[in-house]
Amino acid sequence: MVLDFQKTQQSFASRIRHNNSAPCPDGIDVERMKVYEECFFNGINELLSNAFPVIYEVLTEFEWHSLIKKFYATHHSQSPLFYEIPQEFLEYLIKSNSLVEKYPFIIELAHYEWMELTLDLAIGEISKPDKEIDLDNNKFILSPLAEVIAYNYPVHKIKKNYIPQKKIVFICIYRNYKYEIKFIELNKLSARILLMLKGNALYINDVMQELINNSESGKSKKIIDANIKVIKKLILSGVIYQST
Amino acid sequence: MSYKSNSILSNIGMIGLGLRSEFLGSLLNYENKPVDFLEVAPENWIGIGGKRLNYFKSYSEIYPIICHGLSLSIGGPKPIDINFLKKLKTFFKDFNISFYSEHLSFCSDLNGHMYDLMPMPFTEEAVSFISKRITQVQDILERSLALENVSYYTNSLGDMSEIEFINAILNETGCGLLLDINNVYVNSINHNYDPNDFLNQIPKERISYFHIAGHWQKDKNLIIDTHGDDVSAPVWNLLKFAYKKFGIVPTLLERDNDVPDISILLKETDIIKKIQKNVSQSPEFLYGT
Repeated sequence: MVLDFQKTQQSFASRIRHNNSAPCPDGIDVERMKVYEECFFNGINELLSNAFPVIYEVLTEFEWHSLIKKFYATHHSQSPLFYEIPQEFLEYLIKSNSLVEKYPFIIELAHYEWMELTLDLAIGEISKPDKEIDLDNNKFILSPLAEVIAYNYPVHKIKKNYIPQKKIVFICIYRNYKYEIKFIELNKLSARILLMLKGNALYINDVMQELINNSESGKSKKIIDANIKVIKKLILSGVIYQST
Repeated sequence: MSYKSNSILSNIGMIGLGLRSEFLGSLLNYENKPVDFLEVAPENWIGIGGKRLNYFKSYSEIYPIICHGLSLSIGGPKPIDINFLKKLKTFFKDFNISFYSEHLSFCSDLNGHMYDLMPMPFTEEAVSFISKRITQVQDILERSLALENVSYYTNSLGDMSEIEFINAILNETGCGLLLDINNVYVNSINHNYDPNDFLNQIPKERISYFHIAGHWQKDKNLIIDTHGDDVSAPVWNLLKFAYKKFGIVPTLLERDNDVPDISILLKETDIIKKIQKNVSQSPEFLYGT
């Protein structure tokens, strides 16, 4: 049963979400109500513009403003945690398909920016990478603080005045032992190697052998040479590490 | 079950500061603890890792930390989020959090969270609704809850006054009152009442601790509770009045917007210290009036 005071609450909240599209609650001064409408919007706007700085920069001021307004009005955020509001926003973008005609990369860009935030706060530690790499006698595994993602747009290059053409890219976003969030653009094969090492500690030789078995003949030496270099770089960066 | 006996903040000192990201690095550099205790919003810390968690661990080894929540929505229309309470409970245990307070307000509607505080309609029905929920929360957390009087800007919806509403809830539950001195002043201007008179009606034995903060006077009759400026002179005066009335109560400075260098904030906590000292040494305080 809805209690009387709850009807008042609902109309109060509804005015804050929808502004002039919802009636001002009975007996409440419109100007004072506006204080709430502005404070609530400003709070969310500030949080999300800090969380998604690139989207904020790429959209026009009007587009950003109306996007946040619509998100706030219609999205049903279920997380009580403030650092999960960006995830609520990402879910809204996916569900609403907002602005995808003008900015076909917007969901992927939001995902990329959200991933940076998520890794920054993710639970887990990795130790400083060892400079001595012994590929032959150790198994290696992907860091739990690294994600390998294929995007249809080079989202990591997007800036206000640079919107790249559609092109599939493989990106590894990770947190290093200094708590810095970094990314590396990968070729398809190195992305595959990383995915093979996700949750599985393997000898690099076995990984290479599998790649060679699955590739066209004659390319094996080239594949190994090129990817061993990449793997060493990824180990030194802390993307993959020796499994103990 | 009553948790009345532990609804008062005690044994962690008299001066507190709300811990904010802006000075996470710099406060840690002080060798002698410049304040006695710290307060955080659990909603910004539960379930995180990384550098932030390491900071939190370092602080929790040096300072007593208490929690001041934002998302409980004690007056909200949806059932209390039990899963969230469980997370709170674990967090309190993990970091030895001795005290938890929230706001006497609601911050969600039937659709979900709105991430800011809305004022309750001051009615008997709301009193009984909130009181039941307070008891539920206290039973699940197995600890006393303190609730803060919030700033509000619209005229109140309901037939009770703010002080009647607060006192009715204190009467019906074992909860404590986190008395926000700035909010009393803000509301006294926004709703044209005498702040001293308001404080005179507060039951002293139910006060958990004080909050103090800066605000923004938008116009003559409207103050916004921004926590974005230095504490104003009338609020310092009201704090003095409150100490004289209730005795020296642990007092915490909040700053959420335009956060200055930590040294500036510590000047303000020093003012709190000075006022506490002056009031406790004044003849009227020592010998009564």
